[in-house]
Amino acid sequence: MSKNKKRSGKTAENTGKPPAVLDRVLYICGAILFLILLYSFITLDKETTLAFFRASRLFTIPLVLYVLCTFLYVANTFFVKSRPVFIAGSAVFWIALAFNIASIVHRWIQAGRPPFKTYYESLILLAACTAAVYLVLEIVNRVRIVGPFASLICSGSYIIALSKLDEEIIELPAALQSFWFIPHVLLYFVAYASLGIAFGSAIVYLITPGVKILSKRNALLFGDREMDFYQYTYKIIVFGFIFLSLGLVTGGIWAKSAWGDYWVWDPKENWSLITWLIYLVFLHLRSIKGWKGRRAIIFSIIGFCAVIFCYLLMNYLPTAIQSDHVYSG
Amino acid sequence: MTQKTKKPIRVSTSLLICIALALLLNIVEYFTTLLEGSAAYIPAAAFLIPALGLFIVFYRRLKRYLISIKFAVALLIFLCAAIILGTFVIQGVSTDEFVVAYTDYLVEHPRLMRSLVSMGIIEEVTRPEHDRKEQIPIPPKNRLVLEKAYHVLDRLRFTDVFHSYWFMGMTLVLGACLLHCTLTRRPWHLTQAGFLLTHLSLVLIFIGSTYGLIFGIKGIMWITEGDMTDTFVSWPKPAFSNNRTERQVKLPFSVACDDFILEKYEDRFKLYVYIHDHEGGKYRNPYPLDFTGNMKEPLPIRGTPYSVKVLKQYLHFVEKVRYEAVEEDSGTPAALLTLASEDGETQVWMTAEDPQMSLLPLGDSVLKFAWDPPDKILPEQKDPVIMVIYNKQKVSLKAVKGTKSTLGKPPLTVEVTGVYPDFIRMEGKNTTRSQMPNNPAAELRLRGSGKEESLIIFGKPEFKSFGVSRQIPGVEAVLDYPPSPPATVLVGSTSQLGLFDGKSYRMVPLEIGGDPVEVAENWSLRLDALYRHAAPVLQGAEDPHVGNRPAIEITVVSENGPEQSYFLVGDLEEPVFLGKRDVVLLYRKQFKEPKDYKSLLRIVKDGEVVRTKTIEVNHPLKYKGFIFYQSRYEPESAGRRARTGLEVVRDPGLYLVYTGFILMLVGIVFTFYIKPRLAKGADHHVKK
Repeated sequence: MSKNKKRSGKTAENTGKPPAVLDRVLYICGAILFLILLYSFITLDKETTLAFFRASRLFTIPLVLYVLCTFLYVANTFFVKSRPVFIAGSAVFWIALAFNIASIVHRWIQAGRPPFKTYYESLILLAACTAAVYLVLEIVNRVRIVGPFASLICSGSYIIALSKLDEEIIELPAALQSFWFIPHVLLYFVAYASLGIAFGSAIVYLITPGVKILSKRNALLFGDREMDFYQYTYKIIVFGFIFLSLGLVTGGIWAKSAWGDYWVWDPKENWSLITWLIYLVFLHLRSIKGWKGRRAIIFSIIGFCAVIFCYLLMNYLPTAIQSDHVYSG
Repeated sequence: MTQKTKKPIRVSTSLLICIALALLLNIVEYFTTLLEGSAAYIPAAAFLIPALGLFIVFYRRLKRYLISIKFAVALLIFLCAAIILGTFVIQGVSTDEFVVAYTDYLVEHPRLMRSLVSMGIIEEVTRPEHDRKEQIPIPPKNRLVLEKAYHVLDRLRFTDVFHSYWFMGMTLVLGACLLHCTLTRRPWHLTQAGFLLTHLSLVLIFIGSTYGLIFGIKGIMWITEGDMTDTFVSWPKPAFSNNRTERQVKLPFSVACDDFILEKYEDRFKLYVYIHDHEGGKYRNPYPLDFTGNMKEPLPIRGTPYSVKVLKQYLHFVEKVRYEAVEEDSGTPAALLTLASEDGETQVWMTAEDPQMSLLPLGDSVLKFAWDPPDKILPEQKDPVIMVIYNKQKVSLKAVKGTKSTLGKPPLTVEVTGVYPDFIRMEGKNTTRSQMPNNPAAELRLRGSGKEESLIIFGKPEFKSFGVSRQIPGVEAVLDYPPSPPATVLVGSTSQLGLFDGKSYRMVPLEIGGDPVEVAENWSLRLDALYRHAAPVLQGAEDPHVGNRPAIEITVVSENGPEQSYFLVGDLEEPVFLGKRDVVLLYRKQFKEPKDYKSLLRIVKDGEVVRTKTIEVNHPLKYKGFIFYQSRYEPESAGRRARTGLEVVRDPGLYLVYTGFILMLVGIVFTFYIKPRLAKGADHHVKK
């Protein structure tokens, strides 16, 4: 492989044929993602389906757009691989993000407070943060292979939000009426969004660790230069880790001003610390011989599992009743 | 000569070292808990002194581990696992609380419970249907299993992970590793700034938090609105300290609470629907039915065969009962009366069968409503009677003041000097509170055998001993006082309504809507309605005198059954269960939590006010190193002023911790964004 790669334009490798294995793997992944999406629609219970028709337009429009975007990205990434379709997908993603942000602003005005309190509101925020982080990455790196993961997170958040639709706007309790509410929550959701995209990148790495740009079609997915997905994943995790750290610190300062203690070993605090520690370990693994690469990436996937648990599954903990942070329902 | 190559440190070996160290610390803590007072420090000293000695002796070998990134990674993984454990095991509870908490948890997660039941570990438990708030009955087998589990977990200190020696010890080891790896990187240069900042910041955070833990103080101060205090109750310090008891701490100044303000969100009442999720075993999140502007149109409850019609909304609700005529085979006799006294008129319903509705106190007498033919109305009411026994001779006297009798040899004269249906001694005199026979008594004067005695005897059997004379031997008196007061009975029959005054029966024809008839002293009644067969009908009414009392009247329409009406009062929060408790309707406040609670505080030192501030959650008061947080409150209640609960904290290590936070963030950004640019620049410079 030539080391003298230009950032854009053709190289010897650009005009070569992709290995058949890579295409086969991509087709299989695409098929799996399609099936996941299809399954999630089929198994929506009647109540959730009916909720779609009860919900406001500011909710249903971004939902439909994110789902459309997912189909476009999945189809284009794994099957079609056409630049116009990618552009269309990106455009739909941007429009969906705009509607998503509009729905947050609208809710903010309606509620008279930041719309970050309930499970439903947090899912809408997560979708917005994921879309924003991914689209910025897409502009900067032109790497679109993680687009299906990002759009899946956005549409998945909205579909789950459909089943957790807020029946009414709930007021903020006294403890949440603080300056720190907004930065703490926003920082964490940008972190979650970044780590979610890093998870997608980690999966791509496991399937195809180092990709050489072998065709114009692949350049659409992987950017214009040789892409080392370990490095790419690492960089996104670093970004996410900084926001995790900021979230942890702002949470501690807020807890001190509200409860008198910056750390009370609350189960939610503990899981956010666990997540931080796992990614901290990941960042150190590149310095350990034999732990860089595949092993480290698997560690990052464990970290993402901790993120999912911390965000969505805290209800299942026996200690959840001791926490002030756990979403109810 | 060949050089000895050192075995490389492995992550797995390092993990095993961490586990071994943790077990050792656990054993030290176990022995500490067995001892009391100063002796409790002996196991820790017995461990630390040799450990320190070994550390110094083998420092060169151990240093490898302290600066090894693999060891650090293993330590981080160990701490991760420990924290995860602390989130699965309920922390800081007693055995009973542990058993109850996990039983509740299993009931809330029926799939997990069923899998444990299928393995034969526990028995199935369910929440009592009749009262879901009642504690779940725990089978003995489950209690045994959970208690054993608690015992094992507690022995390993998994029930208080974050204050255990092993957790804190391993955190200390992590701190030592951070310090070592930072110091051994000398000489330091600019590109290492990020590394130094991040690692030293963590050390700073450890030092700051430990310093605060040891030398800081935390507690709770309760102040009643309008009062002042200079003490608070400090909470016990965790672990490595024998000071595990609460104690009173005196401040060098006083804190006064001039006012406590509880801000509430606007009272909005809504009708909420709860639908039971049979799979999950609990009720789904409720949603409100929007009936504003849609009164009387049925609102379907989605996913159920029910609809709700809201008939009326009340702001000042009072419930009234009226009776309506029903078919002959059912119902109860009922009469609507207007009773007049000096204080005014009131209209009441009386029924003949319900004990609560058939008796009505009228001053010192009682009105009873019965439905029977006149000759079966009541047995003749007895007069109170005093039985006197003297030297085996008995005499009965009417319990009426002035009654006298003489009996026996030598003769004994008994005179009734007072009769008290509800006896009380007030200002040195015997008197009666009312005509109701709550504590009947009689006063007798006994004269005999050259002696005179005044005796109080009581009607209640438990005071029988008072009837025995102390002065005149062989005399005993017993008071037999009928239990019911003089009663007037409203008698109904098929053709007339009459009054029976307990002694003599007189039929006074009462006509519906006729003239009032005197029924007791200062009381008259008029008959407004009379039904032989009647059933109650609830009615709602607005009465501004009751204050704000929102309520709604609804009708539930079912596809399969008849319509049912209900009155739902917001303050009472009484649920309406539909079907087999599949659907619950509850009329309640939208927001029960307060919006905010504030305390207006004043700091007084040497008689002078040095500081005032209105504190609320997230806005504490700081003074002389103490911080006062709005933590709890007890609202005003009948006869009691509001109390504010302030959490008092002094944390001398706080600014070290905050400095550590800032340095950590700066260090992380430097490491990942500035250092690579510096390295690139240096590389470029070298190439040039």
